[in-house]
Order: sequence, then structure tokens, then C-alpha cells
Amino acid sequence: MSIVVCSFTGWVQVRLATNPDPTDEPRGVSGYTFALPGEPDLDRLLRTSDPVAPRTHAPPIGVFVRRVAVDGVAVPAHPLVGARLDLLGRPCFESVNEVMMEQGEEPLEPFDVQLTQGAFRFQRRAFLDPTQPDATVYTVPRALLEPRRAQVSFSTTIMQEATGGSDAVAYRRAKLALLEADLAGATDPVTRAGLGRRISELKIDDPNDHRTASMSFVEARHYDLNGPTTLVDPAGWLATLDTFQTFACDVVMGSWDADAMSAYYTGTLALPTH
Amino acid sequence: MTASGAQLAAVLARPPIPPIQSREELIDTLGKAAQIEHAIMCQYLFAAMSVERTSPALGPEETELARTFTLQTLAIARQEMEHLGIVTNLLIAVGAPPNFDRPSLPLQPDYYALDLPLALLPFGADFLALAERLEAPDPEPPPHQALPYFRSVAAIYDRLRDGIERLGGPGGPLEATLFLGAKDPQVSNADFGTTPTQVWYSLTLLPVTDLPSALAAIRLIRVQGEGATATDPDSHYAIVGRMKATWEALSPASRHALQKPVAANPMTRERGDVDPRVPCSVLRDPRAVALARLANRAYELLLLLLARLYGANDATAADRDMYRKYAFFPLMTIVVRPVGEILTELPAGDGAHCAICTFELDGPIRTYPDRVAFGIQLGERLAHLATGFAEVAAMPGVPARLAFVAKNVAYVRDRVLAYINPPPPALEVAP
Repeated sequence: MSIVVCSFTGWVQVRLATNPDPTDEPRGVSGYTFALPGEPDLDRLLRTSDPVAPRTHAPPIGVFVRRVAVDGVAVPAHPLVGARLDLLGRPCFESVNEVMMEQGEEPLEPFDVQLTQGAFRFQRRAFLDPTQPDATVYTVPRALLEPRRAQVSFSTTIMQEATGGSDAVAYRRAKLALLEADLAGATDPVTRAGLGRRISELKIDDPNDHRTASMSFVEARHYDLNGPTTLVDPAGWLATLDTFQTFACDVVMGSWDADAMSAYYTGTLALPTH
Repeated sequence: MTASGAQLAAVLARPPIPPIQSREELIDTLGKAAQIEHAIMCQYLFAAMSVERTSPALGPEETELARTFTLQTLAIARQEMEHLGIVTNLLIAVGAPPNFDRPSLPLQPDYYALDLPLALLPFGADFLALAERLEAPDPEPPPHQALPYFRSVAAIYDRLRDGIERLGGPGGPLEATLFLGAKDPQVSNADFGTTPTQVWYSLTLLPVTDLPSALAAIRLIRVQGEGATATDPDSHYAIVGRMKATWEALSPASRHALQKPVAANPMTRERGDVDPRVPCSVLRDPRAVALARLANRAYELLLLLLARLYGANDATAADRDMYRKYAFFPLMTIVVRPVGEILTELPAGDGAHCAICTFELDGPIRTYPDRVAFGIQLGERLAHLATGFAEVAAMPGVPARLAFVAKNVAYVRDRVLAYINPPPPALEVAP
């Protein structure tokens, strides 16, 4: 048996209201994330591609396989290098103002991974309860929900990898300068209103404030992909994939850019083969 | 809403309020401060809920203005909650129980010997004028002239500070014993996983254990309210002043667009415990009445949780974690506020106004003495709320958002029931 490990990185968009706004707050008021004039309502969805109303000076959204290793040995020419990773089924962070779990530790549900590269397609979901595929965070026993809890820590490692720096205050100040320059040349009232809100938020640069401190907040989650596997593999890249096993997927999210409502997403997907 | 000439004359004829000379007088005044902070918090929450911020009729600038008015008003409300929390820490520290009672609004004249009208006013010129008075620096520099009433909220804290120094300071009669409750349960930033320097949600909950920490707590409340200096831009006084100036510069059409049609001082029934001279309105729409009563029950439950969190010496660490976990987030954020917003989408029933949270309390808030009995009643109350919200959600014309509230309250109910009635441990089967 061999293990093919795909390492992926990229930025995701998460347009969610933040505490102490209610989870279903559509525009953002008392938290630090907002739907700006002209933007659709907040929806809590994690998007790995096709961002909604992407903002200026925001990181590009997209998660891709950067490295493939077989039994621990890097295979730079592996055909899955460059494959796009998507999470299907409208994945949503489910803290629900800490009804479910504390903010930052909450489950992301559903977790349904897809890899695509040309005609190749792999897809498999981690069900909360594989015996009850329709179970939700509200209906599943807590014992099955708890494994979805993120392990959280503070570290600038992810931010360094994502942005090239580890100073959240400097990052926000640099963006503030860009937006202030944009505002000086903006005439459209909708654009000006949105820039005004972003600028007023970025001016809050106390390193102890959660707008800033959350850039070094790191959430690590583990999933066992346990649902049916879909594999469209005309070239036989994963021809000997062992679909009788669960597949481990470990994900780390960090470098949360509250202005862009985007985070850096990195992890591994282990694919056992015969 | 100011006192009549005769009432004012009657107040002025009384002897000046004396300095605090004993622990019981200190506890009385701390209780008064707690109730006033609580009432002021309700005023800000009420005003924030009354801002129209999602109407498609709002232009982009008005939309952002509505957001600014709402978020700044809510941020001040949170700091009033913080002040209530700090005063409660002071109460606990000097050996008293917490005080989460609050008289009905609009406040009866002279209830606190406070020369300020406390009432539920929608966001606008009247509310901003009242808020500016509430947060105003005391007009007279110390030493204060002894008056028969408190000219400002700040004056109450001046009296408290003087009393604490007199009783617990060097050579004071209670120098060694004033803080006899210092080891009893308090709530501080550490309870939220933050360090004393982290300012999350604009809150700094200072624990009180001795004279310096007590004086620091009172200073924080005063600085946040009226400012460390006359020009402190972060004080409530300055923030309200900026909102007031912005409001006054708006066109009448913009002001109208930014206000939901909320009546001042709404109630779910006629009440005899409010200022009879102040116009009040009674909700008539049956959906609004039912939902406002449920909102008041949720608010009451939140206070009961806080009363146990602060005042229950029989609570285990897990109990306290549960009280804190459910009071501060789900009940405040996913119940009281959304329900308040949903109410504004229902008619008041008078043909002119929309409904809103009434913030009525029908009885005193006491610390339930027994952890098991409280746990059972917590489960019962959550069950009533979940059922009630689901029933109102099924009524015609009620926003679908209420069903989400009901679903979450039901989930919290189940979690609480699982906590108070844990499933028996699985039997170990011998190999």
C-alpha cells in the first residue's frame, strides 16, 4: 500500500457576521465584518473559488495542490500538482453565537472535498454520521460533533507563509494606505461609502483588538472522509485508490484578513492506494 | 420629562445626601449604581434596535450612517453592561449579593434622587439629548456641593469613591475588613479567555479585591462615560456628541429614513410602576404582544443566569462555565437582539408604529439558592421559550428569522437538560 499525500494551499473567502452580532445578521453591525453597500448579505459560507463581491486589495481566492508526495517522497511532476481543491455543498461555519461551539472552534459543515485537474475529478465527503447522511450539527449526537472542534492556537507562522510578514498591524496599515489612496480618487457614492467603512475599521490597529489579533489565530481541523467516493480518472492517476478506507484530511486556517473576509487555507489530503 | 416645580421644590427641601459612612450605605449606593447602569444599558439597546438600517430606500451614505449609529450605540450599551458587571464585582467584593433588579421605565420621578429622566426613547434628537445628559461630566469640580439629589450619574460614582476611601482607606473603620467578599465569585476578562490587556468586544471587566482595584474600577467607569479629559474622543460623552452633531446636520428626509416608526416607552400591558406623566404606548398586535413577552422572559432568564454566576457560592466551576456560556452569547446575541429586531418588523397595533422590545421585568431578580433546583428551572424556562418562539414563528406574517431563534433555544434547552441530567455512564462489559 502507498499513500499519496496532496498538500494544498490558497485563500478562501468567508463572509460571516462576527460576535457579538447574531449569526444570522445579514449586514454586520456590532462585530467587525460587514456587507458593504452594493454587496450581497453575509452568508457564513466558506468559498474556495468564485468569491462573492471580492474587495479591492484582497488576496486572490483559490486553493490548489502545491505538492504531492508518495510515501513521503515528493513527486514534483505528479499530475495532481496544480489541481484545484473545492469544498462542495455550501460549507458553513456553525458556531451559532456559541450555541454549538466557541467562535473559532466551531465545526465547518458539510466538509465535502473535490479535487479537479482537467478531466480528473475526485470527490468525497466527511459525514458527521455516515450511518445518517442527513444528520446536521443540530441533530447529530454531541459525541460525533466534538471531533469537528478545531484546535486553536496563536502563531504568526501561517500569516508569514500567507502574506510574507508577521506583523498584523503593519499589514493593516499598508492596506489602509492603499484604501485611502483609492478613496481620494473615488467618485461613485457606493464605492466611497464602502471604502469609508473599510478605512474606519482598518484604523483600529490596536494589536490586542481582535481585528488585528485574529490574524495570528490558527484553527486546525481534522476530517475523516467517510462517504462514497467519486473518482473520474481517465488517465489512471489514482487507479489503485483504496476506497474502502477513510481518507484523512487535515486543514489549517489562519491569517484571517477581516477586511477582505478571507483566510489562508492549507492542509493535506492523504489518499491510500493498493 | 423634567420634574414639576412642586416636585422639584419638595426634593430641594430635603437635606443633602450625606456621605457614605457605613458598609450598608455603601451597598445601598452600589445597588443603586447597578440598577442605573442596567437601565441605561436598556436605553441604548432600545435606541439601537430602532435605527432603520436595512431599508432599500436608504442610499449608500445613509446605510453606512445607520450602521455607525447602531454600532456605536450598541458599543456603548456593551460598556454599560461592563459597568454593571464591574459594579457587581464591587458588590461581591464588599460582601453583598449581586443586584440585577431594575425599576420599570420610564422611571418614576425621584426614584434614585437622580436629576435625570430615564426612559426608552427611539434613536433621534430626544434620545441623543438624553444620552448626552447621562454621560455628561459632572458640572462642578470636587469637592462637590452636597445636594439633596444626584445631579449626574458621575456624582453617584464620586460618592461611592469617597465612601470606599473613607471606609477602607488607611485608618478607615473598615480598613481591614471592607473587602471581605474578595474571594467570592466575580467575572473578569479571564472568564472570557482574554488577558487583562485584551479589549475584545470593547469590554474590560476588572476584578475587585482591595482598595486600589476598587478605585480603579470606579475610575474606569467614569473615564468610559464622561472621559478622562474634557476632550477624550473615546468617552461615551464624546461619542454621543459626535452622533448628535451628525444627526443635527442631516436633512429631515434623511432623519426620517433612518428611524423605524417606534413609539417611546412601549409596554405589553398598562403598568402602574412607571412615571405617570410620561407618554407610554401599549402594544396591541397579538403577535407583537406574545413575542415581546417572550423576549422579556428571555431577558429575565439571562439576568437569572447572571445572578447565579455572580452570587451562587454553591455553583461548581462547570456550573459557572455553563451560566456564563449561555448568558453572554446565546441569550444576548441569538435571542434578545434578534427578537428585538424581529419585533420591529411587526406592527405595534396602533396603526402608526412598529413593535419593539419593551424590556419589562415583572419581578425582582434574585439569586436562586440551590444549584440543582435552578438547573431544573433553567431547563423548564428554556423549554417554555423554545415552545413559545416556535408558536409565534408559526403565526402569519412573522418573519422566518424567528424560527431560527426557536431552533437555537431548543438546542440550548437540550444541552442544558443533558448537563443537569447527564446520561448514565456506559456499562463496562467484561471481556
